Amino acid sequence: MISITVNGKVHRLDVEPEMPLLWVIRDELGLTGTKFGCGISMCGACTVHVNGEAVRSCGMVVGDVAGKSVTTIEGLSPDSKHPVQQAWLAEGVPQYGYCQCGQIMAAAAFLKEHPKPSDADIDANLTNICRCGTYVRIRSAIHRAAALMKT
Amino acid sequence: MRLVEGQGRTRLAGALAAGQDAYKFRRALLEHRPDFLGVLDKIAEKSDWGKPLGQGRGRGIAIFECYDTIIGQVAEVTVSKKGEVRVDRVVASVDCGHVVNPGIVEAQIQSGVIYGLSAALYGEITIKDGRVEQSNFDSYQVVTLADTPKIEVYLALSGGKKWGGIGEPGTASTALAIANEVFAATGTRVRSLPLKNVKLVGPA
Repeated sequence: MISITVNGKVHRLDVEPEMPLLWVIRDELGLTGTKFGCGISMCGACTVHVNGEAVRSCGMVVGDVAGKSVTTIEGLSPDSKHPVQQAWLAEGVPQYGYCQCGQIMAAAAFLKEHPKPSDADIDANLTNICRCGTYVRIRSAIHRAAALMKT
Repeated sequence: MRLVEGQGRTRLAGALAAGQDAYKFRRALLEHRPDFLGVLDKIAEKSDWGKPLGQGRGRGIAIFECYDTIIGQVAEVTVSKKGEVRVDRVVASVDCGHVVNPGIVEAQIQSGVIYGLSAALYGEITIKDGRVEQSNFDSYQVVTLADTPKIEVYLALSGGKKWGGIGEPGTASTALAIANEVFAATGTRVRSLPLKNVKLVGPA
């Protein structure tokens, strides 16, 4: 049995320790906001937080997360009003939307480290792929979220 | 699909070889089309066409019509000493006749430019021994935030009976503007894509 905390709730799971964290989140816990994208930790659609840090859950095994705290898009905010979520809505960022939960999770973790980011900080640190090309609005939304967090 | 770039290509090459301004040349070709001129003049104005850029930098201009929408783009590029291309800014203007939600039109053009940028810079599927060699993002590079230029979108609506499409025009016109700017910055004519395979010589 492996014990992990997801969105504040402790789960004891009867799974192989080699099972990818993404698989556990989606198939064992039924939290389907986190997406499977490329499966090789390149695109970031599966981004979640482990102890507050953004990780790509497709490339992480659940055994390495035992005893740690995982946050998924469902647990980012109790009322879906995290500043990044508010900014995303205000800027109208999503198009097709498949990558967007990962984008939001990556941006939320990034803003903790860079509360007043420049465009260059954003470009250098956020590598999630969006094939719709919503990047221009992602940049604007991150600046907006940073401003919301200050107030 | 009517390609102004394609139709005018032979004359265009001759005009540019003779040192004619790329914007003014297109303006003369399109004199009989006020809708095209509205788009063309808008991108020239907003992009400060004619104002010199620094060494190794250039502007490319392209205009064409597809899905009943006229789209023009000016792209600003920097070519490094190693010959690497970076697109810094794209100024786009569209005439799709009418608009219901301008925010969606803006988003579609921004994202079309990004998609077109991926195709122009990196997009390539190759076949080896009967198989496609690219299988995932580790073998098929796409544009990320780090490659994303500043993108400005301006409407130049002619109204009338036309309701043009807005999904594809941004993608289709990006490579044209970039290839033309590479010519402006380096003097090299790009005849095949993606640009990653084109050997460019940057400024000395």
